[in-house]
Amino acid sequence: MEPILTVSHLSKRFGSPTHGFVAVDDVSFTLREGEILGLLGPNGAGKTTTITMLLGLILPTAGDISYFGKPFGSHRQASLARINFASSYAQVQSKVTVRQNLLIYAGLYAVRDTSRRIAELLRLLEVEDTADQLFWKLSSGQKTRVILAKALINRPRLILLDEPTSSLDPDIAAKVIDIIKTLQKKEGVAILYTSHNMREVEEVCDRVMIMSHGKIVAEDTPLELTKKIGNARVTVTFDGPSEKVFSYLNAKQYRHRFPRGQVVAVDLPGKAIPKLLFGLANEGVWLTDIDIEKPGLEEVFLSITKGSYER
Amino acid sequence: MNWHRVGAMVLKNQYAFRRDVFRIFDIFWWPAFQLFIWGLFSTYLASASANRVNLVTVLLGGIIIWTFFDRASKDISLALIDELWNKNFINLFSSPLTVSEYLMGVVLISLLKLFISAAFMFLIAGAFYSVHITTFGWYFVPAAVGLTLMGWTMSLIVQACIMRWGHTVEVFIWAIATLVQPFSCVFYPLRALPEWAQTLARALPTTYLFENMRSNMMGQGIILSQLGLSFGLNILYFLVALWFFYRTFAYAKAQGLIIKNY
Amino acid sequence: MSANRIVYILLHTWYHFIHSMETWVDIFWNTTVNLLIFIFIAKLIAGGSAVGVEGAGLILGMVFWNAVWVGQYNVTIGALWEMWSKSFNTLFITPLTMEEFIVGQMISGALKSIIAVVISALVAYWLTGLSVITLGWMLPVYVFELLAFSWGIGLMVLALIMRLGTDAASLSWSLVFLVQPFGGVFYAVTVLPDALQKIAALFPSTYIFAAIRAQYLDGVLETGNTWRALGLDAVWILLGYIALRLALRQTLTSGAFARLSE
Repeated sequence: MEPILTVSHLSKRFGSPTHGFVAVDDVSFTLREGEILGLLGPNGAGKTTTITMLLGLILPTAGDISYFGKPFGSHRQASLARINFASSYAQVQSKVTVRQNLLIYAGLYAVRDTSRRIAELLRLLEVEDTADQLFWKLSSGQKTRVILAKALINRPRLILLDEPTSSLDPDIAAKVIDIIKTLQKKEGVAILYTSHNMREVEEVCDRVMIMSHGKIVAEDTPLELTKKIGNARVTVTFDGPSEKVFSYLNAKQYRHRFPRGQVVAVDLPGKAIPKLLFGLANEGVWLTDIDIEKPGLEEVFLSITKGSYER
Repeated sequence: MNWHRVGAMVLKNQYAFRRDVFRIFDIFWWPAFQLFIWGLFSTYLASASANRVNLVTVLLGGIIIWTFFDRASKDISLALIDELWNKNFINLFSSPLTVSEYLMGVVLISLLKLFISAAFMFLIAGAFYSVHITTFGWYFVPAAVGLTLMGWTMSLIVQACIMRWGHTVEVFIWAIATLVQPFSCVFYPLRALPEWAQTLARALPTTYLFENMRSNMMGQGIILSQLGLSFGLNILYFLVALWFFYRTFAYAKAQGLIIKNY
Repeated sequence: MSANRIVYILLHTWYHFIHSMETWVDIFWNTTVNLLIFIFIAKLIAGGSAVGVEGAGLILGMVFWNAVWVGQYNVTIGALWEMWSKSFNTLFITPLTMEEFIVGQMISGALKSIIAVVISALVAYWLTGLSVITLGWMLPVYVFELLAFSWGIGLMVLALIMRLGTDAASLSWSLVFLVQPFGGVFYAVTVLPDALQKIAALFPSTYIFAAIRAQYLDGVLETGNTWRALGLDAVWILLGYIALRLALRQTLTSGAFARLSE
């Protein structure tokens, strides 16, 4: 299958060639039809610069971007007509009503059957009652939803979403996530997604890239990424003297600590959990409660940005 | 009124001012620019004029003291919308700052800018068109004070409207000066206006200030009763505007209009 | 270039226009008030109720000046409204090109200019009996030539604003006034010092206004000046377009373009 977006060796250096600042450093990836790709990274990692280059608002220093198999530089109009973008820093004209704004964007994207499409999107995002209000009079949650409606207006094959849920109430955010998933499933829309909400990324994305200092430092499915980081935390509550537990754990060289008298927390690779539990039981320790915490994307993200992650 | 907080307001504006090079435009570029254009214009007019009056002095005198009204009517309002646009207004008034302290702070900074603008204009007008502060004589003081006061009056009304109605009425910051200018007889005598406009002009304190500026420059002296009338009207309008401003501020605060509108 | 997208930019400008009091004030209110001031000055220098030859020059200058002012203002302010709304980015990630956007602004600016010229011509007729209709079929030619000049300036100012950011927005309504003294708007440039006359020769407006005055006041059709103006117009638009293209390339490389909407 033809990839929707191919990025190869994309780099951006701001300022002079010798003393400048490298914001994006040799980034390559592809995005296929119907795939949701998460782009994560701390502030200043180069996410926004990457996205802005993908939209043609910043010219890359080196590297190629192509949409639908055609180079973006020479097929700007055709490419932009089939993609769209939503973010809190790209709004619509504030002194014009919501409907008028959508009408203009529908026109610029040459959408057919405009008024039906607008009505459909206003209903989908539950902002029908704002249709005839001036954009600046809306609340920030309503603005975000109108911008999402704008992002869907041309039935894009690829949507770039920069923090789409950041200013939304949790129930509306969940709704937006649902819409995104439905679009992917029913219409095979591909999505490039950035968010600070790790749980959301874990839930939505098929694949995740983590950027740091302009480079992609990790790329995999959320599950595989969390597997790579490996360690789980097992918290065991037990009966009996803690000396026995202490000496066993020391003998087997487990990393552990005792938060309370009869409780011990052990950090260990997931697959070693049974061995630990059986081992303790064989020592005659009576285990009254076992709690296992698997790492989430949040931990992966933190370990990468702290530099403890190895590829 | 706590003068420490007033000082903090002045300092805050000072920082904002230094950061933004283009606000210097408002102080230097625009007044100088106007003077330059009117200077060239009036040099031409003087040569074409059927009258024997010194048109250059009269027109440039008009534009110089008009600057006091122009800047005073805009500076404070611009400071307000700057706070509103940067969503800083709520931060300011969630501190112990009172509205009087806020006003005092922005008024002081606006006065400072006004002095710089005026000094700069006299520098240019003196160098190129030999119009000096002495051309006005002592009359410069009441003229400058009167026009500044009228500028603040207008600005207070506009600010109240902005707090009440939001974005839509911001345009009045700029429109007010254009509205007042033709009726204030900045460049021509009151009798040049049609009858209906003269009636309107007589209600403006600014009209008398410009009329007397001209007669003073032509050596015909000043009519003190007119000056008295001008200041009487001026103070009356100012007090009404101040009352209106405080009232609207309280209303806007009670209704949460500022948060709603910005 | 897609005619369809230009139509939507025009529609966008129209929607903005009906909601924006600023545009109404700038285009109709300011132009009328400025004309009023000039009419009164014209009457003053003529020393009577008739405006005389010089006065007629002033009034004609102000009526047609509005074509330059509104045309150039519209090209730059159209982009600024989008930047202030943080929607400049959003527009340019659609298939829209900068050229289509600018052509849209030029067309809407032309419409607004024509309306402004018509209104001021009516005001001038009402107050002074001066009728621009006597210019006959040359009237649209003059207006078009002035508009073309205003587009050239508009492109250059827009290029400057892109380079300097929205802080420099005041250039969009101030820089064009340089044309007033140098471009022979109110009087023949022969009254200027020699050095300034050389600058004036580069402005198409110098020839257009000279032709307007010659035709209106002396009944002479100056075809040579009309052609010269047309040629200079083309040069100004070309230079403006090159400046804009350079600014666009530079800001797209530096990342400043993406930040214009912040």
